[in-house]
Amino acid sequence: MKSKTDHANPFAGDSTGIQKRETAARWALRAGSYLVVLTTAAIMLHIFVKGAPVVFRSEWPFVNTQFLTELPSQLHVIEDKQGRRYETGVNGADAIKKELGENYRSEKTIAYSGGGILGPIVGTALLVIVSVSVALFLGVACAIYLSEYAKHGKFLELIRLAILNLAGVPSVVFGLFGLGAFVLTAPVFVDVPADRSVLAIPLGFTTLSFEGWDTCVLSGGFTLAFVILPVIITASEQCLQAVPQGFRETSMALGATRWQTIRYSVLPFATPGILTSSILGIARAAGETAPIMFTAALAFKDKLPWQKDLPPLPADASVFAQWEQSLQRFLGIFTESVQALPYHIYTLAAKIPQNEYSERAQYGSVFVFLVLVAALATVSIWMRIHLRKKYRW
Amino acid sequence: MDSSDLPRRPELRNLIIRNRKRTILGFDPQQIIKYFFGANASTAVIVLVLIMIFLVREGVDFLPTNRHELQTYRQAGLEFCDLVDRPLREHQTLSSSLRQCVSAALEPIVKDARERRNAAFLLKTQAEEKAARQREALENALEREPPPAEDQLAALRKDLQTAAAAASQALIYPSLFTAEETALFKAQLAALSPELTDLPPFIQALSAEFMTQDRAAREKYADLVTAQEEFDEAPDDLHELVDELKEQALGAKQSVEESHALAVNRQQLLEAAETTADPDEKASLIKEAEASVGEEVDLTALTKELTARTGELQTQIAAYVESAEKAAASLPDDVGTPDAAALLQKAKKGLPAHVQDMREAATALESWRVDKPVSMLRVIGAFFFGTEWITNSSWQDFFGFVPLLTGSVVIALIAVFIATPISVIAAIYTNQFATDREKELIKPVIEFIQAIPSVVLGFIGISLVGDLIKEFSEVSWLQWIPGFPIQERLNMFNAGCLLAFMAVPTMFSLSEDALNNVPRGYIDASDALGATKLQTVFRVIVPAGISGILSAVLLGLGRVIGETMVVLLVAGNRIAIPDFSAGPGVVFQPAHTLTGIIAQELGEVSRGSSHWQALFMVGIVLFTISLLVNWCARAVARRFESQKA
Amino acid sequence: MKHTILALTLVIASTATALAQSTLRIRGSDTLGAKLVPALAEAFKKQAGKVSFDIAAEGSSTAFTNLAAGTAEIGMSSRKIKADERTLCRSKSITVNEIEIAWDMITVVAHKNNPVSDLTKKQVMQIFAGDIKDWSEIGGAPGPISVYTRNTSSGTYKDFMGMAMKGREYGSNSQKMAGNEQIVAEVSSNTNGIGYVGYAYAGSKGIKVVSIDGSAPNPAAVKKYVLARPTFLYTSGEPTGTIKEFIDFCRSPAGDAIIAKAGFVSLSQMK
Repeated sequence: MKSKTDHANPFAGDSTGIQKRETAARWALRAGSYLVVLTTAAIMLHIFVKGAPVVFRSEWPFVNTQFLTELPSQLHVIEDKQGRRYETGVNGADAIKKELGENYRSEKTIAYSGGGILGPIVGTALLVIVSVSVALFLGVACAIYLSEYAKHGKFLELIRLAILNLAGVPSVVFGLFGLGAFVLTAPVFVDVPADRSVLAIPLGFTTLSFEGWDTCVLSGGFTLAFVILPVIITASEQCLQAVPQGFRETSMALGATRWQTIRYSVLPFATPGILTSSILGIARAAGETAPIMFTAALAFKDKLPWQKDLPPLPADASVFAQWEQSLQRFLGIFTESVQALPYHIYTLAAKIPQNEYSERAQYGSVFVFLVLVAALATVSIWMRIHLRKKYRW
Repeated sequence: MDSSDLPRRPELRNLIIRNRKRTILGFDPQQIIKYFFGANASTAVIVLVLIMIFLVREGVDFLPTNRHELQTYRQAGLEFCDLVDRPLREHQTLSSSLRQCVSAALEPIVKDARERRNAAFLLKTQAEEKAARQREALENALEREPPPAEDQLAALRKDLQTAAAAASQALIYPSLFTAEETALFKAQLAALSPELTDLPPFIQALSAEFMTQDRAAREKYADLVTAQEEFDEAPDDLHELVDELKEQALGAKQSVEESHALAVNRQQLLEAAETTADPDEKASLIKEAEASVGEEVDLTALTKELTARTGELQTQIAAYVESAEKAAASLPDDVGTPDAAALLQKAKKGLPAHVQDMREAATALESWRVDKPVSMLRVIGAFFFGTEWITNSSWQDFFGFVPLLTGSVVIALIAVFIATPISVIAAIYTNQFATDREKELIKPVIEFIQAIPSVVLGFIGISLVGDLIKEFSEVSWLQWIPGFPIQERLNMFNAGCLLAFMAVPTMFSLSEDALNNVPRGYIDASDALGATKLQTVFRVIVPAGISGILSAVLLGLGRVIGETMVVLLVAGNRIAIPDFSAGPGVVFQPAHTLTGIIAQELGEVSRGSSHWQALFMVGIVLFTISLLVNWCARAVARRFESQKA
Repeated sequence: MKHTILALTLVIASTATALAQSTLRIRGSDTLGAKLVPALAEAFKKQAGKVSFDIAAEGSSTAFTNLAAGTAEIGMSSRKIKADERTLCRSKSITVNEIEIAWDMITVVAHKNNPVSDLTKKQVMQIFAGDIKDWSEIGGAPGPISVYTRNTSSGTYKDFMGMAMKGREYGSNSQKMAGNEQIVAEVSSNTNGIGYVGYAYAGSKGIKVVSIDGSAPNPAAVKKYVLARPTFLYTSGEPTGTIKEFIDFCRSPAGDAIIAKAGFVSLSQMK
């Protein structure tokens, strides 16, 4: 194809060996690059083909609401004597068995394959919220220092080196760190410190004991925050650097202090960029499995985090008591272990068989997970292009 | 300028002046803000230090704990038993080769008969499987009390007959059987029913045929068979003795551990008693603590019993060596097939070393001292150079991390080997040749790969890639590739491929940056000299960017070594040093990794046990490796940078 | 500052958890926790109403670490508690209470097309200890044996070692799998594979049961089978309230039916 058009071009050189080699090399390079693209496409297509039918429906409302709004549960497969099979949840199983009566032949159950994946989705959302808030706070502050305050010197170099190294620490080591630091030693107020408490400071009415938060959303969220911290710092610093120097100079010339300059002349222009790049951090936090394995994740939980059994209030309970209970309910969300999508996928991949019944849950979860991550990544890439056009200084 | 603006100016000046004067606790607020941000900036440093501290805090006790364990291992006499037991394991390897040799020698004679019999059995199971539902219905009816009416049974029988007949027709009969045999067998399969307990006559005939063939073959190679059997049985007496000693040693170890645990328990109970306020609870705890006293274990007496039998052991070893050598000497040279000959050679070659080991073990028994202290150096050596990672054992736990390290390294090398060319090629192409439209396709796609969670790739490895590789390896014209056809779908190569895919974005974007940073002047100069595009790219741009590319590869390697979920799910989790004698085919073996072991085992061990501490030690090693890789990447980038300048 | 607020919230929340007690946290054995206990829990929930379950099955050892840490109400174990585990629990002033709930038979399985269908006890030991490396050594078609075992925290791993291997170590060629299902998946995809699973998984697709010394696992004659073992639930102290109700349910005729359906042998069937 290509060589033909070259011939048609009167200005093209003759088809010497050099030119042929040139074209061949170009095609070889192109093939190499497209190999990556095609592999990615093939994997995505495979997941789409197997997972999309689970999530989408051909009739209204086009989405399998059950899969997205139910908690994971067991799948019952009942076979009758004619070899017909019925897939159902626990409540349907008895009805079908009764209906079949004599005709009932066998029943098998497949763990985690029935119901939906609401629990893992909610858990991941909670983990992401905690981790991104912590990481954004620390990361943006660090970036502001690096870009606005720091002068060349040992300290700056040390920080840069640390950020680089932090980015290279294996995620499972973060998991160990989170286990050691947040699950087993972070400070809590308790009345009686546990045996494992490293240090207990009596405060009169209570004790500040370094005995850890146990495995919960907070521990997992903080661990993840440090995993994504380098990403957020680097991205935020780039955004701050992109704000033209002139803005700062103008502000300073008008007599504003350094902080006022940052607050009114730098941050407003950098914020959209920072938020955009932090979306990538969200995608990373949502996808990590190893750091939450020992700090937050649970294989199975039949409740959503806020569905907690609190003792029923007496009918004449005061407004304050009711208020207190809803506060407890809210705080309880962060102090319990949750199911998380990546860990759920790990469980589905390692603990249950690969057959036509479990495939539904496996590919469905993977598909939903990828769609979420891909949506985040796409939004981030799209917004970046959009912002680049908008803020052209 | 408007005159109404004028009064504002002093206000602004006032504001600034006042601002300068306002202080909080004697500090300038601007200064405070600066320190606030500075403190936040140092989080990265602090976190790195904290990671180190927490890893070390949980892990460093491993050395004393493990030293204590190894001490018990020695004092209870387990080590003494292992002196003989370990070299004795080699016997099993040799014996295994000989057993294989025998079957390889018999193979040409019995192969046909065996395959025919096995095929027939397989067909029978398949036929039964196909008619399983009808068969089950009939079985249930037959068992029912009171038995159902005869016509019902007849109907069920008829159902089964039709199903069995259909099944026997639908089966694919291999060419091992002649047409007549197939017809006969088909008829017999169609007649299968639960009331027939005997095997179909055709299968019986085939089994008998196989038995005769087998007997004939064994007679033909009678020397080999007897020699092998003799060799196999040679260590039986020695085994018996060693097992007896082992049991004794294990008993000693358990009683030591028990008394240790009781002592610890007592201490804990007393501490608990001290902190409880409730007097009843306190009394009961103290009482329990009093009860929690183990007997003092006199280890020296116990181990003396062991060492007293050194002479007996030595005689047995000598007897074993003699009979093993005798059996080996009576092995014939002619064993028919070349496969068998190779196996025989392998066994024969291995024997002298084994005999040597056994003799050395016999002398080592004498020089073994129960009271020799275990040095710290040995504990460190046992961790860093140990080749066994055995946990939850009923004999002795060993934490040697060499098998895990080799697994991690081999997988990482496979990944880097695959990912480097692809990502460098993609970077060169995108940077130098691609049209803008192509760039808009390639770059986001590769960036997107980075966002794919690793657990998803692990899942793909289990559900798709493993089977693909396995099927691919069974294609007949690819059998020249070493290691094909592969046996395990979860193996290092599978994990390596997926990790390569994960490493591509890192390597690609950093390499592309490196190419971008090549000064424009170089390219212009090369163009001006009349170089073609290709020459410019490969003679000027790539060499100029090589430092960046190299450091990209190193950073990719760091990412790959630290990756957890993919290797945990896909690498096959076999804790053994891969058998490198298999040549390049070694990549198709399963392995376990540093990251995988932490993820797999940490959730299940109790805090503070030596196993827990060992896993944190592995974490420390991983952390150090990641720092090293980063440092190397920077050093490479700098070194070439300075050379260029 | 941030930390103190967080810590404060934690206190309030933890007092709240102490008050509520109708979630049963069950931890431990994969053999029990993957199929049987979830099925029992489901049926119990249907019958008793407002209870919720929180089940994680990573291996029997986790039952005791969790009981000791107070992070589980019930521990599942496919083996008896070890002396050091009992001591660990006692040191946290927890007395473990043992309840036998069902019997299981560890079943040796091979690929369904494998011609070998019976092994002697010694051969089983030699295969799993890595002494026998090739199928041709025991009359199969030539090919290296791939051995699949459970991971080290599993009670089945330990039980198998004691019952079938005279306490010997697994060979270094064995591969450690996360659960019974994974072993089934690997053995069914590898013609040279061999592994062991709980009896509940013996009927899975693509594998077949290998009898030992001619005796195949059979629910009607459990004690005759060499690899049969009891399985247990453990509680801290004598069970009370919902925990007791659940355990009573497990041992009731309704529970027996579920146990049988899940591929275990109920105690009443043993008699």
